[in-house]
Amino acid sequence: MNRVQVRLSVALVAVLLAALTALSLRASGRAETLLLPEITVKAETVGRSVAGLVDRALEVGIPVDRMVGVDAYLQGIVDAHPDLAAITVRGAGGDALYAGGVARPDMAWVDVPVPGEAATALSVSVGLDPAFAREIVYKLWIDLAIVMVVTALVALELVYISFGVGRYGAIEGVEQRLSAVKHGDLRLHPPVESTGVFGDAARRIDARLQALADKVRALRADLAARADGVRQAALDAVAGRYRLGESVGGSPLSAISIRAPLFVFMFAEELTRPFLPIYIQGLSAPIAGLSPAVVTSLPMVVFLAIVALAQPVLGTVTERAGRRRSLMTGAALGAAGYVATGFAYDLLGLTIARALTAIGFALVFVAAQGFVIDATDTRQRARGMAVFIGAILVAGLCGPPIGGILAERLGMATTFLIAGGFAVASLLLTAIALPRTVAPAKHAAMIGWRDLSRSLSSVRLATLLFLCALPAKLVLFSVGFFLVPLHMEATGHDQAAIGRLLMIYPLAMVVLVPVFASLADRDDRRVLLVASGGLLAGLGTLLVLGDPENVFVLAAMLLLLGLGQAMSIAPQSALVGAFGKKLATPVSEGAVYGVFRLIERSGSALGPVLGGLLLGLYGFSTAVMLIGLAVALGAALFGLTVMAVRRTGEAASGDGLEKDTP
Amino acid sequence: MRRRHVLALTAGGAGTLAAGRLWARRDEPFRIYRITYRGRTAVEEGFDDYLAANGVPVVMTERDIGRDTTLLPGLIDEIREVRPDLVVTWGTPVTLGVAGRHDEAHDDRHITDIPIVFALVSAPLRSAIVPSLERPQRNVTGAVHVVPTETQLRAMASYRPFSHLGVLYTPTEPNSVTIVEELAELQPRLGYTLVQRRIPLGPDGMPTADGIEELVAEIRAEGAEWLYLLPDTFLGTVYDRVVPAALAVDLPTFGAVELAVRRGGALVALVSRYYSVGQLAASKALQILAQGRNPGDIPIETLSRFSLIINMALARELELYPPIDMLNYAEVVTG
Repeated sequence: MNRVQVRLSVALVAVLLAALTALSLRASGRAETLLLPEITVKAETVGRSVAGLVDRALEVGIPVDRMVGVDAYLQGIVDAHPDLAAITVRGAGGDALYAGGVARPDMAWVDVPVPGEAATALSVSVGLDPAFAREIVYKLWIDLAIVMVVTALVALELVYISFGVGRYGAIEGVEQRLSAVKHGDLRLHPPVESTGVFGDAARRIDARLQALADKVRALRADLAARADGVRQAALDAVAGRYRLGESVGGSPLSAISIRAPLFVFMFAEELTRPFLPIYIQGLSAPIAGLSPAVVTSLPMVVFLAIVALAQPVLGTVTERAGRRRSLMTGAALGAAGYVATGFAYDLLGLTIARALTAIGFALVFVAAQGFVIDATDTRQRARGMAVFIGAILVAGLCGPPIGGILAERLGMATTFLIAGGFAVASLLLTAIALPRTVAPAKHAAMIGWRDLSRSLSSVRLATLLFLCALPAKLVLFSVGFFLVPLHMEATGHDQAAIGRLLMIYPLAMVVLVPVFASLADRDDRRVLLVASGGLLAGLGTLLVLGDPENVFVLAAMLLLLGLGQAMSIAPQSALVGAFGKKLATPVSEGAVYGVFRLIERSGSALGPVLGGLLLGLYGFSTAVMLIGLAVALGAALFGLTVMAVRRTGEAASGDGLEKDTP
Repeated sequence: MRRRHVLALTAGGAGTLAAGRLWARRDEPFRIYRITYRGRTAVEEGFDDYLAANGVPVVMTERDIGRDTTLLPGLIDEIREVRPDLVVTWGTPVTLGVAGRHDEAHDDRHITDIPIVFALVSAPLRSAIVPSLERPQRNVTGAVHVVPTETQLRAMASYRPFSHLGVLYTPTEPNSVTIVEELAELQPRLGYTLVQRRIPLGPDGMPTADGIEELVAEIRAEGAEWLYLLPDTFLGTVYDRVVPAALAVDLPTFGAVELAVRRGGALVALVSRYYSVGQLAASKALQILAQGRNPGDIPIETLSRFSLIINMALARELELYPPIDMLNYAEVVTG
């Protein structure tokens, strides 16, 4: 980001936060004034019903001091109504005859007289729970705070999207060029695709810089021909000082245009994250021979399996059909899938709806990835992929808490319809923002069996893929996205709370992945980071030994999961490339990464079903710890294997040890 | 879930509409021949109201035998003559007299070729009217009125928890013996001890009420907190000796039939309402008449909701009042 962008972002976020704070203050104030009369009215209704029953007992001839089971009856009512703390039946002198719940001195009471002639002196007092209104307002505040954070993130996302395209792109381009020239930086800039004054200005600067670069190139060729070492050195010094002839590796403009539709589509899927298992559970019917938890996992497994298996195929399909058209088709399928999920009324219908969504999801994912590859050259590829990954990560951060709030307030089915709406929005954004034609870069071939067997012939690559990459996704999708939401639902948490908790993992990723990525510059460090990340994520599950009902324990577990995977994710990806290069029988880099993604995603698909299986057999805590220990064990074995390979020096077999490459 | 219910309701609604059209097309009303045992009861009201509410036109021929089963052969001859669309019977004696046992050779003494719907038969299997409740497999189906034993015990426990349950029964009545066996089986699950006494038999083998007060006192002495008045025919004739005896030793009584609390003086009873039994029987009749279903395929059912009746005069005397929330659903008999 350059200075204009940073300043604008800060200003935008500040204005947004100020407005939202003001709104939130008003909203919570109103909630309090609206809520209290509602609770009072309800307490009166409850009081009248109790008084009516007491009256009935008197009427049939039960003496007031001989009534049976009144305390238990009152306690039952208090237990059923979280907003009521106590109910007391009082005698003529105001003394308590029967009571349920716990009376507190700071409590507000609603009194209802017992009707009928026989008991003019009796009354029923209903005590309001002062904690209830406070609790509701407190929850409202947390929701509002999350909305604020997410709004700020989305605003930044918008800034990021709108910069680099259209007139803003041109203004930014001019600013960037002038700023560079001012600092004595005469590198070439990526072209600005904009008409108008700023576009012209940028192009005129580019023309001057290009002319300068051309002159330097001509001069250098001339000097080289004459073998004039002294002048050549002088030219190099000048060129180095002003970075003549170099290019700025800025974010490629057309790659950025994918960010908005991709973000919006991923946001739709992430919305459903906190309550999807609970929604499935509500619709699932028993299947003979399968535990209910496994049945619940089935639609999720179908989704993830389709995503995993479709991806290798869809690479070429989307290339042939066109990335733009594929993205739009995927968004449309996703929208249809979400709407169908919202209307599903049995497990089969739900599974079909989720399968439809999965095809849409895979199409969008692969087409977006392909679009970035098409729109970038190798030099820009990393930055292009950063755009792609950034959109997914920010969606993963914003989606679950908002989805939880929506599900809690509007219902789960409605939230699926809203997700469908976002998928449609993504379709429209694709239609508007994505350039119609981007010349495809050299395409990556589909991976074949040969790539798979060759890749796995390396012990180090095989252990990396099966003991680290696969378990990492497995633990995320079984514990993080399946067992924890189900467990929290079972222990009485609402979906908004689940959504908040699911924010922890992506938050840790967004913040920490860049930190650890910068540390992972050498292969031995990478191995260390991958192994210790796996150990940390896996052993973190042992926290449930403390108190699995405690939200903070679950939060700490998810934080360790996020921390561990933030440590390992970038080094792991880098190691795949490094190990792939040293294969005995060479396989293209694209194919090695294809194998990596396929195995990684099989872990995602296996996650929920394994979680469901273990949950049915052993319960939450044991299931979580078993998966966690397996992950830790895998990471430890990987570390030991790499060390063993290094010591025995398998170089002879071709699976050689590379010297630490900077 | 909610959506599924809506669908189910819609389907049900469509079914009713279709059936309504079916009757509208019929020119003549259905002819029903009904035989009662002891005059008109709430069962007939429930039956007639149900048919009327569903818009079924019927012409009813009503016969009452005034507890005299010797009148039945004459009525059977009349049924053969008028050939109604359906025969409705009240109680076990009438039903058995008209339909006969399923395991006996059928002859012209019984009706075997016209659908029969009964109400108020307590044990259609034991009285061998049908071989199976799910599939009667003959021209008979109907509605049973007894409340399941376990349901009775749970109602008893919610009025007053108990660890010992007293029961007094006639050993020569198979129905009573079966229920006592059931009570013995339920002991471990519901956590009580059964205290049982048999009503003595006279030299002629018939049950006698001699010394019945002592038996009740023994039951109380062994720790029983309730005396369960099971639907025993002989016991029903000696309520006026059993209930005062129980009252004398502070032993509350729980009845299985409406009569036990209304006239016999039991403290509580959990019963099927006659009106509801009539409605249930009418729903079977509707399936036969309107949908043309074979009675042999229509299951014999009992109600799933029952009425709790409390005798408040007795509660005051025993100073044993019901838990207050029971008044939300119980019917209270005062005085």
